[in-house]
Amino acid sequence: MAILEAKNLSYRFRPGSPQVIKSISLTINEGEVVGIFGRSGSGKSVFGYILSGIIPNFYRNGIIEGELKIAGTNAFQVKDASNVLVGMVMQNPETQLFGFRVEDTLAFGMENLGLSREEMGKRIERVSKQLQIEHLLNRFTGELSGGQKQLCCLASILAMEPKVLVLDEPVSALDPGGVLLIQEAVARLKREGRTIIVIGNNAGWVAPLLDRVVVMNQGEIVLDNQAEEFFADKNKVIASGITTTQVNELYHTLVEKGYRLPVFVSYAEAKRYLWEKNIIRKNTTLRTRSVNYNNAIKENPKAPSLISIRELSFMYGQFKALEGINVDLQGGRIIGLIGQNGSGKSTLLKHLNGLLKPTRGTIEVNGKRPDQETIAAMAKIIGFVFQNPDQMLFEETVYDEATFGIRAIYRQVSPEQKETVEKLLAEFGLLEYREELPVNLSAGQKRWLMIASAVAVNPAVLVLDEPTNGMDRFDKEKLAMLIKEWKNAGRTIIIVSHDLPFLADLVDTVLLLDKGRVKACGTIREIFSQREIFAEINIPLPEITMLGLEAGAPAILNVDEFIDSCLTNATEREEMGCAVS
Amino acid sequence: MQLASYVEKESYFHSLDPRVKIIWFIVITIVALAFRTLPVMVLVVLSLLGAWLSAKILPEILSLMRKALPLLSIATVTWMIFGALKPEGGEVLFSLGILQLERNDILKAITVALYIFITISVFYTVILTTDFSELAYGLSKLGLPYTLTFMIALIFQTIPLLSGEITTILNAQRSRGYELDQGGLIEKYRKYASVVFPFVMRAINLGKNISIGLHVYQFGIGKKRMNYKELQLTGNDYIFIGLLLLFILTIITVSLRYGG
Repeated sequence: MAILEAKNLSYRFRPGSPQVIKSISLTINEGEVVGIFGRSGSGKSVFGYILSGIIPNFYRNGIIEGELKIAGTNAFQVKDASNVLVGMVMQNPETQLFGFRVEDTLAFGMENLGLSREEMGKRIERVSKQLQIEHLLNRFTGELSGGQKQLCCLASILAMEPKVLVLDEPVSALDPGGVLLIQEAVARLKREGRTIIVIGNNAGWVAPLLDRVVVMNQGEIVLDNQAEEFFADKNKVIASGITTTQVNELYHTLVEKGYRLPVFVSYAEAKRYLWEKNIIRKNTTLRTRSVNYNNAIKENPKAPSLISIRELSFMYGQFKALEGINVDLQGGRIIGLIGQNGSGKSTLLKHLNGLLKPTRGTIEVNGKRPDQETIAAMAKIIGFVFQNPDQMLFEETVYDEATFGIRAIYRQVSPEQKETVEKLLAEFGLLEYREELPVNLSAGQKRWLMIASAVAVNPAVLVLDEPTNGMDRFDKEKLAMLIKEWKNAGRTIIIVSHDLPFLADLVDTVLLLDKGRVKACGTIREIFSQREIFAEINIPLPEITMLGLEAGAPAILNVDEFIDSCLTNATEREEMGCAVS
Repeated sequence: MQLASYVEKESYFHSLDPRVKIIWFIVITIVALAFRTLPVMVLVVLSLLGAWLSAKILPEILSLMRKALPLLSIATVTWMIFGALKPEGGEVLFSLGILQLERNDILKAITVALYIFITISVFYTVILTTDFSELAYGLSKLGLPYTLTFMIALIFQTIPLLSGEITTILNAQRSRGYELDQGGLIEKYRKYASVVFPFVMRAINLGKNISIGLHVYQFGIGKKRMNYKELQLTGNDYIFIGLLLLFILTIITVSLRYGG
């Protein structure tokens, strides 16, 4: 039965402006979990705002046309405010939690609906059980992890009993532990028959739960498929620009190689089908296709260290943020810094350029002690690209922003530096905007501008903090290619990221932090072969690595390696009679 | 600077009804203003000491004292200078040109410093022992419009977010080689002013997202609002009110006896 029906919905921000939503018609049935995906600027978020009533009830200046019926009610003419048609959970839980304790935040929406205390009590009990957050009810929301905060947002929206749930990029600001919490919660809600719409450009975390996939481009729905049909078709997945699961990519490769398999998007399905169909080799060993593989680099104990850290400890007041860090990192590498939020990653990075001074111990970067140099002096050696570009942009033009670091450090821009900046702007598709105000750029363009500004200084070390956050697959691929180029040019790149599949195919060395201490440090193969370490810190290894470990091949880093190392060859397949054409 | 925020403790003072704590804050402020004499100030400080010990927040108050010390020192010295400029015929302790510092000037200066300290610390005590949801609810039960009390709570909730934003922005610009703390006063002012732009943009964005969040929760849209928690005075509250009345009587008696 249809619970949501959009007919010829169109929207423009103001009279006379171009349509950002173009005559969309969409029907969603009760109990369906639908993913609405698309690249940055595709109109998916605007469409989500329309579905959740933010447009036209909050943003009132736009022009909306067409019809939207939710649970049989005209969503644009709701008279009874207590009839909550759609509940929305947004990207950042910080701006959606109102109240000191979790219980206060859960009650907030219901208080506004004017429900009786008894009813509120019953609903709080129910949703907290439903999402398994009873133990958090009396906790201060400021003390919760990102995932717990997002769960509270979800619970407080559920307590208002909306007919449809809209989740707008709900995991993009979370660490792996937080993503798992939301994944489990959505799975439970799906089992209960909730109608859920997930908006974003990363389908990886939610793909196994989706019933349908809708893809938007330039304000239009360009694809509306059953999830199985969508994920079975590599071309559709790639054309959509969304990130899918690694096992789904494995499925696509196997199909290309002639295997006949049911489509799989989850780790559990992949494991079942691959083993059931005897596709996995009995005695696997790691086989890499090329000796030039990034990840095949071995640490040379005689090579000088670019970054040398000795007994580094740091206290925020009484809180030990870092304790006894001893690490030597060689230059010309791609280094992945991994850990849950609060593990000390940011604190460690701030020591690299002297933003923080050690409470105890020493740190050296390229022969310099950051605690004895100015931050400006360190900026010549180490460039930072922060997670949120909006916190960095403050010049009047894109060109000035891109040359900001150069001017701050060298006072003026040399002709060679000017040429470099223009080349970078052209490479990142920003040259045509060089006289534009940076804040007017799209989120993706702002991120590229910050990368350009950091690279323009030509630092020996470049630090990228969660660079793939909010990026679609095309941007991710472009970034990965650039990082490899920078490395080949001799630069050291430090990437802080929760996106382990992205790191797996890119980094040479991994530094894994947990509760302010080094949990592990070594080549990516050494680290990714230690399943128990990742289990201890509640960070899931990439699916393909897990499958490799199941097959007996340690530290598989990508789909190609898995296929080379773990799959039966033609003779073996023939002997076992497995399904390959 | 670390701003005042609620400190979770199991204490008698924490358990009081927020309305009682708000009334206590008003009474202490009025008493300190109306009876601005040294004996009264000393009594008020002693009563506050009792409250801090009961609330187990003495370390936080000592930290406040350390932060407030420069302000209190300036207030004391300024008041002594003002007093020394206007001789009142009392016992002169020190004289230099037109300045005549009398014993009374020192007592007045200490009284003023204590008054400033009392008004800051009594407010701080309420903040340290009452979470912002309780505070907003208490204020609305005392008759303030809910929208206003919610705004107060929201400010407490938003301050840490904004404080985090400004720190990250400053760190981001420093990391790009921008020497914010170099140069003369005007140069520093110009540099910091330029950092205001991204902060304002982020603050606007934060405000927009909070507004959308409020809209999602039907804030101000639906029927008459209902509070989930109900405030009810308990025996502890009545004991505290009794003690407060006793304190007021003592202050009046002391004032009548020692003047004010």
